[in-house]
Amino acid sequence: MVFSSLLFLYVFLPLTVGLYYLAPRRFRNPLLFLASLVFYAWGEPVYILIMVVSTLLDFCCGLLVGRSRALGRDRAARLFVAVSVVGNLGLLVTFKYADFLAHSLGDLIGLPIPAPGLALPIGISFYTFQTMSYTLDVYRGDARVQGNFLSFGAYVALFPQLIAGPIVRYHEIAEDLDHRRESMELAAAGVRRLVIGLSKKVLVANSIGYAWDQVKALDPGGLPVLLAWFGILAFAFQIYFDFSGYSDMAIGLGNLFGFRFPENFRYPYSATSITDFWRRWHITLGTWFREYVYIPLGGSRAGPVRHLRNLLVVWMLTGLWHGASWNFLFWGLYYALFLVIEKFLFREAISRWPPFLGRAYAFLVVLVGWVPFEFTAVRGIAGYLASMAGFGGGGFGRAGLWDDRTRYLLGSFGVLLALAALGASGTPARWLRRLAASRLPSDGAPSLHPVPVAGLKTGGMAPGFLPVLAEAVGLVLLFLLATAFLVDASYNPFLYFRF
Amino acid sequence: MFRHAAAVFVALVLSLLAVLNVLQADRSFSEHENRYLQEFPAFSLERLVSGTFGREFDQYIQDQFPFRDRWIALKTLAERAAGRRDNGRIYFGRDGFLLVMDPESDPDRLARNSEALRQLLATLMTRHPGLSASILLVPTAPEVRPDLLPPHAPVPSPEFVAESVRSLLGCETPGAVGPGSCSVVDLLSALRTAAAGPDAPSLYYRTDHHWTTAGAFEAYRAWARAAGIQPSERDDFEIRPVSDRFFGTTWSSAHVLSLPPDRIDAWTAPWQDGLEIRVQDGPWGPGSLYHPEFLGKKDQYAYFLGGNQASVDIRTGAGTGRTLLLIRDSYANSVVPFLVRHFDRLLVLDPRHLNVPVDRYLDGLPDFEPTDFLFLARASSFGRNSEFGRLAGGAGS
Repeated sequence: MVFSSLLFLYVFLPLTVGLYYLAPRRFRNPLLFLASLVFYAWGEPVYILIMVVSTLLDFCCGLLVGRSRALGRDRAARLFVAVSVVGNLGLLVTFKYADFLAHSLGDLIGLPIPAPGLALPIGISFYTFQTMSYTLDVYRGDARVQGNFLSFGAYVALFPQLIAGPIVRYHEIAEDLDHRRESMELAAAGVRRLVIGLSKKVLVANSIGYAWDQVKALDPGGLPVLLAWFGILAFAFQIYFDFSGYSDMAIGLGNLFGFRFPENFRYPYSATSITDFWRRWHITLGTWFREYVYIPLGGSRAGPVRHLRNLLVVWMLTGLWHGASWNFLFWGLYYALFLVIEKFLFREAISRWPPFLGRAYAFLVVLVGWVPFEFTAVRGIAGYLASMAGFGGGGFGRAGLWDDRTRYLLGSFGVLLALAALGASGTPARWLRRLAASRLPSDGAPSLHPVPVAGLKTGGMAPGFLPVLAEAVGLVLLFLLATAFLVDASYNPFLYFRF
Repeated sequence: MFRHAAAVFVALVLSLLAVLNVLQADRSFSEHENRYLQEFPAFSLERLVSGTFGREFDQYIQDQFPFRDRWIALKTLAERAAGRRDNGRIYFGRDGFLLVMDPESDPDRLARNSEALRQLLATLMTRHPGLSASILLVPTAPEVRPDLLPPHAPVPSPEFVAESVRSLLGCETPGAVGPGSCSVVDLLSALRTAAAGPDAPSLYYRTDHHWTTAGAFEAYRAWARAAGIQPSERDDFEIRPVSDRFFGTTWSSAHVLSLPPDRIDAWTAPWQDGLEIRVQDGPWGPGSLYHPEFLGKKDQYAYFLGGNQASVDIRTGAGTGRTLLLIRDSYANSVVPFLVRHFDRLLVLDPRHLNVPVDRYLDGLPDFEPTDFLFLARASSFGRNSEFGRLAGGAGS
């Protein structure tokens, strides 16, 4: 099931929330676990077994690691950590990378190696990373052993973040898992966040994604310059509004059940450098790799050579995490290149740039980077980049600049593109926050990321009547519009099936 | 509580719709969208495990959502307000015209369809030397009237299909296909000429992809000129509206709130009476080219010839000594009333609905001796639909 469906919003969600609040506290985690299994199994009834295997594996490994540590037997603890890591990566490799490895190896030795051709279970890259984090956290002493299988199952399968993140590391949620307190305050913030995330996904991402589909369907090497740039811009906004909208919905849904998930996006397109971009884009993935790969490898503290190696390893893995094919590896290395340049060569210079220059540079790098992300074949990547550079075949006159399709698409999607750009900059959210300074920084803005939990402490203040009314009207309108767009969901893709 | 008015209102709206969704009765057919809606899916363990039940249930909720048509209209409204000039299926054209967005043709498919057509023609000309064959590839409204499209709307080249077929068939070269004459009529130019000028009639419906009776008449005249037949004049007909509440297929895909309906005209003449008609395997009997019973239904265009029958055999009192084999799609249904004047017998076949290829079907009619052949179908369909491979048994898909 996906959040952006009528089935989820109007059947699954009200039933789950209703049962959840009717249930006594000790039944709430088991209930969430059960609901999450139904949520996952809806589209993929069989693949639920893989998730249960991963859950069982780490539940046991966590127990054994905890016991070994308590007995002071570090080697045994390390063994069980290894079992968890090998087991989870084994699942991931089998179901996600087997075909890729078989094809690549086959090409290398010149013999066809049979590929198993397994379908990728949705969300496997998210939940294997989460279950692993538990065993690792227990080993590192960052979290206590979870003795209740149903509670642990609720953590792994928790439907709000199951299929598209954020990736919640166990120690971040351990407290909430057993001792959370649901509140009106938190639930209301959750509803707001849910509506905003839903609108980002359904109203902005799906619409602008349709524009990108029009461009993507053409020969990538034969586009007029403006069309090529328009296309990749449309994709950049599609994936940002889609992905961050999903995260907003996840965080909002978590709030509804009393959970506080980490933020996943912080206006990444206003980053002033690539280093900054990756602190703002898919934050929980970056954090996961930093915590469990980069730092254990020695991070930046083991000399420049090891530092460079660690960066390359992490970014190759980050690239491959996004999909099992060469273009994603290339995409990861592309970012490694800019990060290395920023860290080793221009560290000082970049910090002295005026912010607008940094923003322009970072956005340009990211925009070009989406090309090898979206096209899997070298031909498509090279062709599209050539079109962007003006070698799309139309020459350097007006014919090479734009054609009728360009003008038509710009006319059809220009307003949406401008609104998306404005929303992604974070400016409307800042305006609205200033407007309703007396109260929560939450509103009908098309893009609003952080609703910091600290910001929820507005208890004593009396909000003005007009801001409350405006917010209510805005939010209800957005929700109705999103519903209308879902009823006629002729274009409602799920972008993370390759993750 | 007041501080959370926004969240409370959203929750109320959501709950209300969720409850309505459960309470309201299911519909099985959407008149508006002209399609069957998903009803509560059948349950079995097998369907559950395979995921079929889940997918159908998802569709069920989507199709049966309360006020479905009005939500979709709201979406269209919002999209158009934001500057969209199409909805992915339909261009919102000038003067209230809803125009189909035709995808590019598929050159492979077009080549295979043309080959099937060429084989059928070759077979027919061998059997019936002297056959006079015409091919009418029907352009769509935006091809005839590009001025109706939103500015800069990208459309496939309107000449592409007809010109490809012309060169693939090679039938302008005498004897190339067989012992007979054959021509691919330049229908696009003929219709463009007819549509030009301030007093020109509307050749296409605004809310349907078909041509109007006036459009069908112009196509008939273009065919007659090419076939060397003296065509009827406009004054030969009594023209009267039979429906002024026609909302066609493009209207169903467009979901616009307010748009005036189309009018359907019938052009009648005495020679259209007293016909003997046989539909598919039914008996011969007196029949009509017009089917008023469809005027009360959604698909009012089926008023002409009763829709897309696989085979309609017509005997007239024309006394011209000529017999027509008409291979067609629905565009021909409103042309047939003009054609009946010139033939003693017309066999009208739809290759998409026959259960055997056209040449095999004709093998079963040894006493059928056509003197004329007409292929009439929408050009863009011929450029990409596999069903036209069924023109000849050995060719196509």
